[in-house]
Amino acid sequence: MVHVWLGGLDDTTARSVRVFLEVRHSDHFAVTGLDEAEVLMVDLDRPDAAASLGAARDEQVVLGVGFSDDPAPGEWRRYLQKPLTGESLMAALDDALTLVGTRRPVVEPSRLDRGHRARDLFAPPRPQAESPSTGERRSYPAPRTYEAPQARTREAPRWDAERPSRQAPAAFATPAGRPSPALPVAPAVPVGRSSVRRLAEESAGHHTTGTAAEALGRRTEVEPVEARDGGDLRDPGVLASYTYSPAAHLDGLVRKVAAQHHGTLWELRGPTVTLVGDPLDDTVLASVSATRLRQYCGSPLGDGWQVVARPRRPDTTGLRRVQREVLLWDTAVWSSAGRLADTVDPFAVTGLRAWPDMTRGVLTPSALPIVALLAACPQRPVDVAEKLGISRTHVFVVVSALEALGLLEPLGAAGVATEVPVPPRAETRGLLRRLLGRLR
Amino acid sequence: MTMAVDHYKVLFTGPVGAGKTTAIRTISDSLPMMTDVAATDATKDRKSHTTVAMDFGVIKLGRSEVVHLYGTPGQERFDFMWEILREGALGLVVLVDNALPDPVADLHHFLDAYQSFIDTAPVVVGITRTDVRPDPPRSAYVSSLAARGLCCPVFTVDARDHADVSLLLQSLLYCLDPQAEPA
Repeated sequence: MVHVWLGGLDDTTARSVRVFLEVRHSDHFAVTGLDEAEVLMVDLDRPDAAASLGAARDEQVVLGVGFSDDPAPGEWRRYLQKPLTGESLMAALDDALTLVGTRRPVVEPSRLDRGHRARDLFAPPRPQAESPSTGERRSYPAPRTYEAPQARTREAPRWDAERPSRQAPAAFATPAGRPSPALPVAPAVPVGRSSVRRLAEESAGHHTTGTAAEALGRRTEVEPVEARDGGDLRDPGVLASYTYSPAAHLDGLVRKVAAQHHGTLWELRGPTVTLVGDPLDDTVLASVSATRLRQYCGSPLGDGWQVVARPRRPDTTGLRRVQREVLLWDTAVWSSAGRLADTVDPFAVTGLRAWPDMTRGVLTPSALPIVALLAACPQRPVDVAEKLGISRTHVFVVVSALEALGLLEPLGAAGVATEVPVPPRAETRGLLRRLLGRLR
Repeated sequence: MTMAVDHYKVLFTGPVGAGKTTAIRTISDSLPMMTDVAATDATKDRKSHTTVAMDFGVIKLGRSEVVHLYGTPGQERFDFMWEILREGALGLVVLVDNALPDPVADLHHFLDAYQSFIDTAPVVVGITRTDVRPDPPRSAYVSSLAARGLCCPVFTVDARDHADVSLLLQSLLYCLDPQAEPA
């Protein structure tokens, strides 16, 4: 999946490109925020074009779009002339992908692609729809043969199986059920302007099309989680390799601070991040993007985190507002990385109090059936993977996130697992399979 | 009008303006048939057109296999349609407009109307327009449903967003069979 950011495009163009990428080529492209994008597509004819590029990073490829007779005006080595066509857009994206090092299989174009490639996306309809280059066979990827997400070259390093274990050192470990040590308390000062400005730059253009789904924090794809199943979890050594301590990670810290300051404003300050919990609408204001926040979840937290005493309500300009439960879910997913929170007994029958909001948090593989199973019939977490025929780590990441939200209902080691509901008749099961396949 | 029981279908219901028509339009493979007309009653303050019979969309699974999506009219005077539509349905999607004065009560109004159906079939709840009015929070719906003995998916959704509507439908299907594997 290639992530494209649309910057400064007018609404019609942005919508058209989005539809082109996400409907016609949804298996390969997603329009995302600036931080997650590999390719930035910027309208150079807009006066704010330069400002849009202010936060671009070195590894991001900039694709300029504009009106010019020069095929590569000025500094714009990768430049698309208006009016855009499907073919020129795909060719430019192919070129950009080569630059970011993403490998894409070369296959014959699909019937839809062939029919579409000569169409001018943005110019008024013209009788001559054929492009001069229609005789040339361009190659487009076919959905069925596209690489699995784990093959992405920009894979986050924390999913790398070769990396050493990131288990919390003993000094951080907190036994299940015990509170973690008190945090240092800092005096109240306003959230730093520099961080606000940075976030404003980072999030510029995030809501290109302005749908409510985006405004509410739309997720764009399933988060890859390494599938790992080896070893007997009754062996403490094996179990340790499948667990992590939320008390030493950001998810546990946020949960603890939010619980301690229930109903009041709270502020948690880290080395370069500030989180402010607002009880009025049960949201958290973050001074950094989700991508930046994720970086704090990859390993146990070090020193430098403080709870601010009696914080003042910050100026929200440039701050990212996210539902508290979504923030907890996301940070737990990122911290867990397929491991089980050490506050959860993997051998205790566990039910679910309520479903989380799964349209807003990070979605992980098989998250829906895992939650559906636990909601329908309490199970031991160690049994869920077998009953669903999925990887143990895919279960643990979801269970850890549910634990972060306080949605698990442990029935204790002596609890009895409920039988999985009788499946629908074969005919209906077949339909469910096909419909699920169609909806994914 | 009678409906064959062996038709696979999913029902969308909820108050006027909650996004039933939009959700069906978003997820349908072909342009759904709409039966909207200009609103003439109290509805007109909320939307220019309203559904007087039902919305109908399809998700195509193969050459001949389709799943029908039915959106039921929101106004109470069309209650008679509900009985007809719910026959043979896989499950129920209730969309609730969070910007209405008492959306939690609205949810229960529709759950009450479908009580006999949701005793035997799954229900999922989509809360729309939380960007317009975030209050009441999602937790208010969850608590209210728990008091009713329901532990069902409750998601905030944008009815215009394919991913949101798709997730809502997928959750409905997994409630029917958590062990279902996508083909």
